[in-house]
Amino acid sequence: MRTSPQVSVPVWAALAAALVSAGAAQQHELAPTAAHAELSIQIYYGKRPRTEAEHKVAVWGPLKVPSPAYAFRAARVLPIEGDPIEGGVVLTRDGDIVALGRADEVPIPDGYEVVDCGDAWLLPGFVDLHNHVAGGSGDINDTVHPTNPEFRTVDLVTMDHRSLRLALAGGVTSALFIPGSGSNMGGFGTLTKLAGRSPEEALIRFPGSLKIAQAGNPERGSGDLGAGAIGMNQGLRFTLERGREYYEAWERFDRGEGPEPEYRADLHYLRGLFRHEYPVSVHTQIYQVVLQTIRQLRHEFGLWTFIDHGTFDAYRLSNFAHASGVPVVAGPRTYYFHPDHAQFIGVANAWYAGGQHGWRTPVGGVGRDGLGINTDSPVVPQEQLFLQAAMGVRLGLPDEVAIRALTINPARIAGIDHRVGSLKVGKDADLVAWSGDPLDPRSHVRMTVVNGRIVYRRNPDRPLF
Amino acid sequence: MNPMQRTPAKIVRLGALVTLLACMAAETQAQRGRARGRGQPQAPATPPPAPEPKEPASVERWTAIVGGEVHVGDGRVLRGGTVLIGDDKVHAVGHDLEIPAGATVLRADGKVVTPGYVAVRAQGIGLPASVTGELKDAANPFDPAIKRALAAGITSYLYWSGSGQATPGGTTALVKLAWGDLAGMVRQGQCAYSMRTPLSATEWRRLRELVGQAKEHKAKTEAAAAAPSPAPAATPGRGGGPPGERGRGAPGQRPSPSAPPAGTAELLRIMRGEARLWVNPSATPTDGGRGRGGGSDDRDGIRQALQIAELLGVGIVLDDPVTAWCLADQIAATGSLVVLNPRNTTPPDPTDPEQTGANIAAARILDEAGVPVAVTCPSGRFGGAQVGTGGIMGSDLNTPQVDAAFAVRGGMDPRRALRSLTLDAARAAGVERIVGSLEPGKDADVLILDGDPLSYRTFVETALVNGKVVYEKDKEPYYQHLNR
Amino acid sequence: MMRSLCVAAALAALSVPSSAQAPATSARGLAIRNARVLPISGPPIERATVLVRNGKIERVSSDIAVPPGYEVVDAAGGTLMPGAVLAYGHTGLGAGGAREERPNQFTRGGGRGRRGRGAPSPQGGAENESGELALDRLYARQEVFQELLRDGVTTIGVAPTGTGLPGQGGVVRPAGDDVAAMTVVRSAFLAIAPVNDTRTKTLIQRALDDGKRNLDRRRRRGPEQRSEGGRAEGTPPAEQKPAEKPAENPGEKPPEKPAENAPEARGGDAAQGPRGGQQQQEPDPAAEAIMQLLEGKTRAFVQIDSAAQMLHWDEVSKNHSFPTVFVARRHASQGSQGFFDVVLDHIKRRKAIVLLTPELSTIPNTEYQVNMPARLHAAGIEIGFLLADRGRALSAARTQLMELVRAGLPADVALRGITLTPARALGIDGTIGSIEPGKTANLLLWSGDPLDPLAKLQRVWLEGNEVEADPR
Repeated sequence: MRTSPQVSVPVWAALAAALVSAGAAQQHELAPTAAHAELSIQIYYGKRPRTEAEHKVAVWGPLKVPSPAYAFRAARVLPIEGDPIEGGVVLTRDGDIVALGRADEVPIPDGYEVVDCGDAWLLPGFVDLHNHVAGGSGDINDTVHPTNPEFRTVDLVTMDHRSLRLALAGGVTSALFIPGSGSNMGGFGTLTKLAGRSPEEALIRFPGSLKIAQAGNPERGSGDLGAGAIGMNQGLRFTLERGREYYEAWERFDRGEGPEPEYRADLHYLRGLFRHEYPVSVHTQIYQVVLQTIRQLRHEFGLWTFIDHGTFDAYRLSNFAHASGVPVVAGPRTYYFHPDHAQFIGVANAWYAGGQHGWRTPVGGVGRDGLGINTDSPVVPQEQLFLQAAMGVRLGLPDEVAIRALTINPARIAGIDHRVGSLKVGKDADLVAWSGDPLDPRSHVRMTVVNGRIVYRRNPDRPLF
Repeated sequence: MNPMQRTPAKIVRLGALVTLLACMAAETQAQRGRARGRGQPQAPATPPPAPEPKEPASVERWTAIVGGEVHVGDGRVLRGGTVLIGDDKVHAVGHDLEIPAGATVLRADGKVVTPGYVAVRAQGIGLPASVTGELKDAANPFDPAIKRALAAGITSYLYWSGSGQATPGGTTALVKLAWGDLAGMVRQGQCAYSMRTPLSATEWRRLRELVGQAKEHKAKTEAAAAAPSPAPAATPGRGGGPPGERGRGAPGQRPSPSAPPAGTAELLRIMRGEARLWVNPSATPTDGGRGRGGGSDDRDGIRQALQIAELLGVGIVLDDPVTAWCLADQIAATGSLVVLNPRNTTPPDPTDPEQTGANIAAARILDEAGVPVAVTCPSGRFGGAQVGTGGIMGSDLNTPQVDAAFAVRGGMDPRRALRSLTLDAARAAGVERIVGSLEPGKDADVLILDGDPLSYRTFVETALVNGKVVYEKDKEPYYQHLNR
Repeated sequence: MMRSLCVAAALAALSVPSSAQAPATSARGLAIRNARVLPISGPPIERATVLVRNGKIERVSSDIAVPPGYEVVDAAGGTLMPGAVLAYGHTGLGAGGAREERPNQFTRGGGRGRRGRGAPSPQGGAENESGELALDRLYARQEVFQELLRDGVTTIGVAPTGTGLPGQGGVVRPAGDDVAAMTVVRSAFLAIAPVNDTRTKTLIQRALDDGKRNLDRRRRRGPEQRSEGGRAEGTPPAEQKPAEKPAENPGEKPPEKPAENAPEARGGDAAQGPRGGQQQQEPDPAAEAIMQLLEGKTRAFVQIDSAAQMLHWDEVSKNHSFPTVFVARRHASQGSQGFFDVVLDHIKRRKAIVLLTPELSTIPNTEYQVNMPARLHAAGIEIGFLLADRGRALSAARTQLMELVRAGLPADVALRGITLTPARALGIDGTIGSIEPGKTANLLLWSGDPLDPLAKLQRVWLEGNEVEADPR
């Protein structure tokens, strides 16, 4: 039975917890060091429902997807939440991982088809929290009004088109498919697998998040309200306050303290947002704008929030984000060319290692578990998610952080780590066989498995990617 | 019970034998392909021989790079080798070379030494996008972009301004990133021309006409050169000047004593091997694919480009073709080359998926057929042929080795993938006699890298252009803060 | 005291605004007492008296008795320095100011994503216009001269506009009814404005090469036929005037073949010799001007803003040597073409003075600033400063100079850079640019040190006559 991790802490406790996070972080270690322990972040989830069943607005995808029983054998298995396994095997059935471990220690029951991946590396499928291509049509922006809380991308998801096939060939199996940044509040995104016989089968959770673009792109005069930052922030506030009122009316009703509110389609999903059933994913970058994001959405409205770009010089806020429990999914720009001294600052590493305010030692930042990496596909093609991480490593990010930033971290950031993000018994059977180090562009994906079904096998004569 | 243990040993042995035989067969096939590819169907005028290294006595300044893993560029790797540079040229490469007294010695122990990369498409580095007059008069040897390009490993690039359409045109030059050295920047003018296919029937006819006139003229001048002319110096001679002279510098040709017919000057240079012809076989888009051409099926354009190659009697360069991998043998037969972006994912035409669309294995397929391949970075808003400062690393010219790595992803032999940045890139630019490998007599453009050249983690530590150190990682701000 | 006030009032009443008529040099004497004098050519003199007579400085000393009949001005401890010299600008040319020159057309990053900006065709610049004089285009009665004078600029170098070889610059005083009255030096320098393109470089190179050839030819003809220099007023070339030829050279020399080393001019002015053959008598002022330069009788003011431009200039001029002043009007914004500190030897080799705008430069792609004037000075190069060519030029420059001094430039270098050095660059330092006996009495009286932001400009004298104060 799946349960959501129980996290419900006010900010001050998060701060305290961050200081003594060593203990809580231990269970997620790959190769824990004291430095890593210091950097671990406590993501703020608000009063999140503890189980999927307790969600009143969000819809979760199927827990079990019928699929054959496989035993995947490979020279190297990286479960992520645990040490690498040399000569490992992963058993899957009906969409779940049922066992994994060393090949000579885990028996393979009858009825399991052995898939021998030879010298491959087996990793969980990657999770990209900033995707615009799962709909296949490139139609992701509606700028009717500055804020569009009634829009949803779940209606656009289609399976089996080229962008998704390429994504699978790049080892990406789950994505948060969100509206564009054409308007201030673009609508609600969908967490979906990138393979399935239907969008319903592929669904992980809808809404995956509320998409907000804090500044920048929406400043095109979208809608009636002002085109500058002041106008946009007011628009956000206005809409969120109406959503909060709606949510409170329903809470009162649930407690028997008030009448049943009239159903409002435009505010329905905001109710779920304030119930902390899903986060706000914010297109936000540059110091001042990210500062506004953290202050407004995380502190003023108390929402479960994550930064979904964090590029340019926003990494200077890593300390504040860390203290606020706001993680960052960095990209697509992988570097910031610092105008003060012409250095190529790696964005991911700068968040991870803390802002470089000229101090000699980096300040503890959002840390290992608070860093994800994205493509903003199609800005960077979805299948090149690994390359984003590789460039992060080039520019200083430690390797294991990069791998986690592709897997367990985004899963945790989006609240779906009970399903995806690592190879663990009970989680979804989403795994990828790589010919070698997944970060190296010279490696390739040999096989991709989603929900226990083999959805991609590479053809060496006409490889997709 | 582990299933592995149940497999009988003899089946394993048989499998190994079969594999071995298959490999041998494939290798033979590939060798044949390479041999076929390298040959040219019609023997054109031989280009000038590779320059000889200088006489040691005349060298003023010696530099030696010692102790590194030297990738010469033609496939050879010398562990612990020495690269000896005399003034601005490579003098010798080998083990245990004698280093002259007074030489500057750069130690490269534990490092990798390679030829500098030749970017076949690059913008905004030391020159404006278009220039009236000669390129060298507009060069800026202090452009900060030069340093960033050197940091990426690029030591020279093919400058393009304008292009031909139905006939060869455009202004090109091999530009060296010789920081601070104005005279050393524009190394060779007009080393390439470009045009596009498919051509209309009229255009094709016109081109054939022009080529015919050019061939006539060429034959006449060669005949005159063979038979010595008794005419005095006052009369304009009939012998064509040394092939290398023509066209150096100004795009407008100085009229030779026997002027080639109008419109054939570029064709003559191409036929003589003095310049490369690039042909962009862009197709009519059938669906919005990715890739420059926009369309998924440019086979007609490629075939016509190959016809042009046969017409001219020299190999051409296919510029970013989508389906070159479907015509590898034909391309090899004309001695042509290909410039491509391995990450091109132009989708196939659903009605003919086997023979259309891009293929990441294109570089491998072409290489195995004997076609030299040069790689480029993706085009587009965040990519593009620039050493950008606002973009996304991995998509622009800041990491050329990533493009070669993607060719390896598609199956290209890793040992040959480095050539797609060096010698084969130089071939595509028509300058393989002067750059692209660490061979005696060539320009001393050398990189000292801190690791595997094709690794995404590798940085340039030192770059030399024309024999001078022009970039050192720890002295420039760009990547100084990143250490292994 | 009362007496001097009456005298001063009478003088003020008698003196007319300097723009209305040519300045009258004061026949009577002027004594400025109790001043801290900055001669520029030497160390400061405390509590000094400066005697002025007939528009010139008569004496400077800390201990002089004032001769009878001299008007006395009490400086009350203020600082006296020479008037500022604006060495290079386009003051007064065209309608109300300068025809804007084309900036150096190299744009960093060329066609990066945008439509490539090719080289703009410069206005003019296609021909050798070295025979043109900037002062011939000057319009005398303009507000701008008054403005500059009141602000403390007492000498103005006027350069022709345009690129390539736009002509000769002159020096004027900012007072006078007409150009003749204003003119101090009709032709002080040859302006050269190179641009990084083939056409301009070829034009200049050809002009210089032709000039050298003409000079050689002239020298071969003998000293008596060499034209008297003068200020490039276009004296007829001796060899072309049969009337002046001595008897021992009957007939004309055969026309020189142009083919040998003077290929068809591409936009450049042709050499003298082949043009018009042996019959032409007309002087070619453009060619004359070049020859003057090559003989060292005048100097070139070469507009160079960056290291890259310096290297291009080197290509063009390397076979020639002549007095050179480098004028860098835009150096601070041209960082992406390299700063001067990487081409120091090019400057030193020519023993050139560098006149540059008093600005800090920013290293491209960074926020680091460098004090290029201080660097050049530290490297032993003589530097002067360019003032704006209109408006409150000195006031503006003063603020910039303060910043440069704060950033490490010695204060005396700063002040010399707006007085004696630009005067030296123009070749007029015999009469202008310092407070020494015999030099022109262009004086500024400040309430304190000129580089103190609280100091105010109190009085201005142009050639001994006090200038009407700024009404503000």
